[in-house]
Amino acid sequence: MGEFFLLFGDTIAAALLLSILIAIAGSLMLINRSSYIAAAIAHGSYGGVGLALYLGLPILLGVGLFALLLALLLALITYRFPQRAELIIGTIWAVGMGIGILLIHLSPGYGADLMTYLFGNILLVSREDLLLLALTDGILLLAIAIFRHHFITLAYDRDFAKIRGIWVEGTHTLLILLLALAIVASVRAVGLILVVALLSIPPFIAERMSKSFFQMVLLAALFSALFMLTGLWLSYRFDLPSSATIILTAGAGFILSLRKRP
Amino acid sequence: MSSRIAVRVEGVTFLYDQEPILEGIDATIYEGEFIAIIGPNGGGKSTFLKLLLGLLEPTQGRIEIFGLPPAKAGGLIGYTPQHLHHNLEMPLRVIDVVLQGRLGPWKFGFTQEDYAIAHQALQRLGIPHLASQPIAQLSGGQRQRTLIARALATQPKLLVLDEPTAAIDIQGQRHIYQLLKELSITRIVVSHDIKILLEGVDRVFYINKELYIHRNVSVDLDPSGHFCEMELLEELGRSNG
Ligand SMILES: Nc1ncnc2c1ncn2[C@@H]1O[C@H](COP(=O)(O)OP(=O)(O)O)[C@@H](O)[C@H]1O
Ligand SMILES: [Mg+2]
Repeated sequence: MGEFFLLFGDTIAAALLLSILIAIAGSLMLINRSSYIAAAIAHGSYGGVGLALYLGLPILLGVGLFALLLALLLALITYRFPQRAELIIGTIWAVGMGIGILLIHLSPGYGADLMTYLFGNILLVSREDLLLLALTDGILLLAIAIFRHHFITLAYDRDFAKIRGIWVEGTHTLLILLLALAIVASVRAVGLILVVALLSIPPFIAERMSKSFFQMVLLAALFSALFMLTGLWLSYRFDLPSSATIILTAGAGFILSLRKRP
Repeated sequence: MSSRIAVRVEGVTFLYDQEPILEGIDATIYEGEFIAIIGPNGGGKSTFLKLLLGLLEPTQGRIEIFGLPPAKAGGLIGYTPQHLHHNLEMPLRVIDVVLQGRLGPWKFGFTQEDYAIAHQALQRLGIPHLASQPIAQLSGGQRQRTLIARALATQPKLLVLDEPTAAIDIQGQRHIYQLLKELSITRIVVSHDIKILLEGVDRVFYINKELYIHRNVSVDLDPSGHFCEMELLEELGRSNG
């Protein structure tokens, strides 16, 4: 156990930083029922991977630009056309991935480790990745410290928020931008596909046990830390891919939480 | 009741998908009035309220709330929506929902005073003991009272309630009608239940695409305390009184 912590100091730091990010962004996502939007940003951002490879830019820059663009587009669509949103979101999702596949195909000499962008590799995080995660945690913490009541009221009763003079479209857009930021920051560690599951599971379990939003965020952070550290330890102990052990641990937690409804 | 105007509606028509939902609505509501809105399901009552609240824009015509366009008057209005299918799973306590009535665009936290106002609103609705109850555990009636408390917590000049007692038992309804009667602010209350006409309303708006305004609606009770709802509704929809 001690050896595990020594060997994987950076990885464990990444897991803990990720837990904060997942707890905040995931809880906001869940109360606003925007998991479909987060999934579309995450999958659509594969187009950013392709773009970066094709133009020879840093991957994170490509993914970041793409995620930003998709977030603004999705904010606009889901605000203006809520009835049609699902269909359009599905299209954006698929088109983004299509662009990614095409551009990667056209980029010479690129092969297998694209899986890294879909599933990440938390064992290979760099100091820069940690810095980005810490920065993102800071931004998310600041955002909910300031806007938590606005986000909560918006999620609970949009009409009421509007009557209270809240800038509903701005708050809605900010929320989606925060989701995009969380997704981009976690690409290297957990990848575009895994991140959606991680954003969903711990906050979902936490929501059912919480009396307040604050409690939900706190519990979600504890659960995601628990799932990630357990997953990492299993990966180390049995020499298995960490992304798989992390997500399967979270999945097991999810199933257990369904059984133990108070 | 004063002669200052709280709500002015001039020639308002509202189309939804080319379909007229409200047509040629003219109305003036004075400060301090208690208005009951009744009418058939789908008659446009909720739509009328949403126009007053600035949630919908009239296709034609003009609305002023205390001299302001509805979109700028929200701060003066306390509102309870008809449909309660809000995010019921959300981890919120009753007090958190009532505090939403204290929120504003530049407000990022709640003061002691906000809490006091919210608790007072719960007191008036007779549910102070539910303050820390998670909303997921509330009955329909308790949820409705919570939302009325939230509307009161805004300390409004105009109270707009859309079928506030639909999920509340008879005794609870009386309590809420009594509360409404005691308030001196302008009140506009849509009711599914025409017993509200017995509760000191000043005027009755009957809305069925068009608006019929009635003053002094007399409700004749038969010896058992009932009246014929159908007949009365038909009559209200026939003529301007
Ligand atoms: N979002 C909407 N989609 C479709 N029809 C609507 C919508 N909003 C209102 N309507 C139509 O407007 C009419 C009036 O509805 P509403 O104002 O809710 O009536 P009431 O509150 O009197 O029952 C109904 O016929 C309804 O079908
Ligand atoms: Mg209605």
